[in-house]
Amino acid sequence: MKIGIPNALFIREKIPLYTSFLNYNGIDTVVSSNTTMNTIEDGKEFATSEDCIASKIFMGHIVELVKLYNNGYLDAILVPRIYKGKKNMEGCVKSLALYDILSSIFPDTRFIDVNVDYSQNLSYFKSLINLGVTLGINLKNRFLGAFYALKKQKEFELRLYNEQFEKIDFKNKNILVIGNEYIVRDNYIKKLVTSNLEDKKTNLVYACINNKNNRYKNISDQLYFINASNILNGIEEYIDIVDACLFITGFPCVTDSLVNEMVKKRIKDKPYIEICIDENTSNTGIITRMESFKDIIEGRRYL
Amino acid sequence: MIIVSYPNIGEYERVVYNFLNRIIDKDKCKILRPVKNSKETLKLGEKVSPNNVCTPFKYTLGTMISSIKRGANVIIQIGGGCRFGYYAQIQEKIIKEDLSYDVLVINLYEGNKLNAINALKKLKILNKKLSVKKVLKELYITLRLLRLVDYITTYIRDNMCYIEDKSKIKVVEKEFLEDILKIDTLGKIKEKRIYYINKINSLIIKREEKLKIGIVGELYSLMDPFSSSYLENDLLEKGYKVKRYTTASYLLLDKNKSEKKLLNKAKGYLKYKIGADGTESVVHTLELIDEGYDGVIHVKPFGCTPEINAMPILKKISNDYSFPIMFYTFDTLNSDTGFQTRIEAFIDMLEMRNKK
Repeated sequence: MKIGIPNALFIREKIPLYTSFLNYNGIDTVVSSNTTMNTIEDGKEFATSEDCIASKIFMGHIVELVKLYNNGYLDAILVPRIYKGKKNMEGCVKSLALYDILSSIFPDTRFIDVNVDYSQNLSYFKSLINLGVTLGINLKNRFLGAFYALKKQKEFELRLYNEQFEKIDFKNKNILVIGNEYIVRDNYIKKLVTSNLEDKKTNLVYACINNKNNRYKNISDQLYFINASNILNGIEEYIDIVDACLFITGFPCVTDSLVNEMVKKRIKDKPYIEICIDENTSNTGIITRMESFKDIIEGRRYL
Repeated sequence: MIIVSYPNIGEYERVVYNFLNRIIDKDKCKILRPVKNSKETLKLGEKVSPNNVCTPFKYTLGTMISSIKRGANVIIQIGGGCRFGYYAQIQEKIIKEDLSYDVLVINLYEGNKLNAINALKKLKILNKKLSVKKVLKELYITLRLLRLVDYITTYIRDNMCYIEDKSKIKVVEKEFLEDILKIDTLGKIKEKRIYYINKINSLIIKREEKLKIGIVGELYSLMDPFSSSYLENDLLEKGYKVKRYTTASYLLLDKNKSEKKLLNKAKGYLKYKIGADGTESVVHTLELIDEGYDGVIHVKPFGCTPEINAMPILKKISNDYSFPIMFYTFDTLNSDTGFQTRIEAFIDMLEMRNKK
């Protein structure tokens, strides 16, 4: 059996979790390839015009997997859903409907849903067990696979964090990149925005990769969005050691729009730039803005 | 002197006024009713709001700033669900830090949840002698009043197409809206219900077949006439039968009870809740099809993700039942003319379908 996993939206962060669980139980996985301009073009065709750029990218990845499914290379496509996290934190509203939307748009494709909802006692562990039931995996392997997958996911997150921390060098310019993981670390958006900043003297620090210390309440005590709280944890962790901040938001993400307002009030003394990306964003405009941003950071070092 | 105000949503601000009027200490506190949403209040809110934020944020912030400019020094904000629950904290920051107003913003919700004890503690600023018993009693009356408001306004909406002289029903509606501010006992609620139903019935001439249009979508656009360019009033005045399910009493009192039932009704289209009122939009459209309605208008403010989630599913329903659904998004740069043209074209199409 072969199952496709879209390499987009909040699913990106959890790919080791799902691939480890499925591979442990002898199921092959195919993760969709990195985002390109074609991915966005494919996504635009099926997504609602008002969807955010991340949803359009997601739809592009699904189109790639559906093509594989129609050609007989895949038996199903995995679509996770995160409704409620720990302490009643909420996932992105878009994630709630992905399974139903895809079932409406591609009625002939088999989608498998995995629901994470802590309010109904459905933790990541239990959601994997339920996935095992759907796939007909025996009880013992379901449990062993779930433990193995959670361990692999933890190792993956720790490795990313350590790699990032080792790279921080105070002789260089450190820029904090603020935004959802699926935006700031997406291949296409990286090329479009952050590649313009990268050189030997500049180091990018991603706020979404942090030690999950739950310090977001220092910035906003009433926040109840899972992704945003993770980003704020990162900001609290790195803000004192970076030279500047770069916000990257997908148009029109309302959550980012609200949370960025809070963050800007926290980082008063650092230079920051806000880049809003949609499917029509021009590379030239971004390069100009990035160059002037670099000049500002460089200039401040001599003040 | 405390001058308290609150954001606006349609005529429901009258119910909030009625509640506050019964719990405040009248010697030390005064209520300032918010102005109705208008282009001016929208401009006030839009100027200081984050760019991509959903439109209700701008509307509510606009009325809050307008109230502060007219003298309010305490603002009460209530909001829960989707991103509504997070509005208050950002709005407070904008009002205090960006606009430098010295006001107290009371947020009755905490992290998208209503904590009754903390909410009561916060309300004590309006009346130090306020007891739990008093608040519960007045809250019960207010909820019954809310039911009355929704019952009468729905009754008017359901029957307006059968009344020839629309100005007469407008007079009754105006009289009722004035009464909302004064009703303070359960007895009066019962009495007014019978009084207004009889009055509306006396105006009905003949129940004949009319073009039937349902309106579904995001709650703020549905319940606040200005934020949907007076769509509902416009259709009613043109003599069409209009149905809208979303009301404040439905959202506050009935919604949580009926969530499982909703998903059952949407079987084949929805397995999960799709956020805020998105699930309702799908289920209510299916109900309207069953009830023989001619078409549905789906309204939402720009960037409303739950309703964007509902759109592909509504499109599938539209294809499966060959049922006309029009999608309309409202934002701060609306043109009434463009909107009117689209509505007229949609209605023409429905009428032509009916003739066939």
